[in-house]
Amino acid sequence: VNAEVLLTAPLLGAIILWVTGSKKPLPVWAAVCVGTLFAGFGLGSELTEHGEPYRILLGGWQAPLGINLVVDGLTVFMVILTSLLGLFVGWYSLAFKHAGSSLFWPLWMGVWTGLNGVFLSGDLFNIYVMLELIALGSIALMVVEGHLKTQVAALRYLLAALVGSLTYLLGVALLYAEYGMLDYLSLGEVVEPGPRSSVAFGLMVSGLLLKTPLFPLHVWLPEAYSTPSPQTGALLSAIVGKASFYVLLRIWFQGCPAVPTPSLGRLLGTLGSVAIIWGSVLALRQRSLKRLVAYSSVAQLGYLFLIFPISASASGQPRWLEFAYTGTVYQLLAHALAKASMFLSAGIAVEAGGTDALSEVRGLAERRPVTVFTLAISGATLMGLPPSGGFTAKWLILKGALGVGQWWWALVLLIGGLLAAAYVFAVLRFAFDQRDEPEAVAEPTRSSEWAALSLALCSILLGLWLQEPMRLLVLGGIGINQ
Amino acid sequence: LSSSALFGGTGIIIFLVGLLGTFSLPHLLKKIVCINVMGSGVFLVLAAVGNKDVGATNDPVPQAMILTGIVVAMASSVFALALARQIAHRSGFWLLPEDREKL
Repeated sequence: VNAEVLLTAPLLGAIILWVTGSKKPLPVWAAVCVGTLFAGFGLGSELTEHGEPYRILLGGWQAPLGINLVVDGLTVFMVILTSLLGLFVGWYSLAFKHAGSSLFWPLWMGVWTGLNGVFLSGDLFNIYVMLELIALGSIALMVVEGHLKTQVAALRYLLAALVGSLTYLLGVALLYAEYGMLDYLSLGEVVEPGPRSSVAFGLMVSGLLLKTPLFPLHVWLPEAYSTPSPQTGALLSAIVGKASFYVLLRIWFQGCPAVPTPSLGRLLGTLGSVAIIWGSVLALRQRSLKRLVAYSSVAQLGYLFLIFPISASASGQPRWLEFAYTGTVYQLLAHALAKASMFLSAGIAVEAGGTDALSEVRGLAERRPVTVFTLAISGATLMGLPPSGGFTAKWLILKGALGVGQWWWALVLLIGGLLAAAYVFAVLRFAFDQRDEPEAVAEPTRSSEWAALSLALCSILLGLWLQEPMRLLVLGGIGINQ
Repeated sequence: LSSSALFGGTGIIIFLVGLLGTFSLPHLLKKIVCINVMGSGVFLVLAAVGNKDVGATNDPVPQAMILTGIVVAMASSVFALALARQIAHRSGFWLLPEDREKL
């Protein structure tokens, strides 16, 4: 039942909120949050009882005609993460003064349905449809505010997303031509290396890299994340791009485990490292708070790609891949929580200061201490300071890299951490500056500050609460049981 | 050369033409049309995949994929067109700002 609740609750919520015009979104939002959180944790305990990943056949139909749902540790974490974001970003939206368009609610619930669909689906074509649902829904979320600048960013993002998903679909079609199936777990057992499967795999991977995005395909990202409302920016950077990365993990390690070559892994690792350094340098050079946070996403996404070169050298030593894999998932979760919190805090700072300029953050520490505290602790996760989830993530990736003898990634992790510290302190320095003439500014509600703080605290808790999640993650996790 | 290979190869060429156009043509309408050309290329590949020898039953799964794909492509084209029209109406150009600077 749990999986069905995860798919239908947000969908029903979307329909109800759309039909009723979302004048009172609170009860529906609360019901969907409670329902999906219970279902997510329920899925986790079912999985622990089961002891291994399992499939759910929708309507009792077997593949290829039926669609399989697949439940493993990664699925459980992704659906719970989505529910937490739904909870706190929704809370912020309810509390924020400029709550924006009422269309936010049905559109976000639609995106939520697509996200849970991607995380549960075991079928590559079904994943394509869900990715399109997410893309269309989240781009619609961007433009509900109606600013020209956002519309331009949204169209640029839409074009990139469509090219990406069609490229992915062509890869799926070629794979189907070769093997006649779409279920990625079954494909993993039969796909053999060869020119045809390499082309299909290459197309799927490049489509997903454009959507995630990985440097140098990130050109659409900064405008797309920094121009819409803070809630939308938070959701886009926290989970929407991550859905494409999730699919990349699935096809790399489970759908076509025999296809990727070590050199392809090294290429993605190198591009990820360039993203870490270049993204952080650009973040440092921004004069606007929201753009700084957006460029920091380019950098933080780069860490996710270090698993690919590590896994290439880890054959026969599953221990190191296990470190890299759990580290990557932790980075994904910690970054999602911390970055969502940062976008929401940036929204509060912009409202309190009147403009988006970094220099206008001056004096924020005095006026909005909770928001500055939130920026500091979510910044700690981005830097990788203990005991945050970001620290655990980077530590695990580091252990994996050193284990397989690729010490150079450690250097990248170190430089990335230092640069992150630099741009986080650039914000905090302004926040603690005295402001000469305090102007009359809008007063964001306390409650919206607490929503952002809760997300930042979750990213810290992630670093303190390790044993149970780790056990669940490696339960039949990616690459571990190869 | 089998008909599947012929159609499949043509589909890939159509896809590549569309891809090239999406990146090289600055006009927003042309970009959206080119994405639809890419989509048609993919659908042709899928049709070729489902095509079996004369007499044998065709594989229904690629057909279902094409139908679903057409629905998705239509929805996203309508959305992209609406956005492009708003941008053209408000900025006066059927162009993205970066392409406008090049002119």
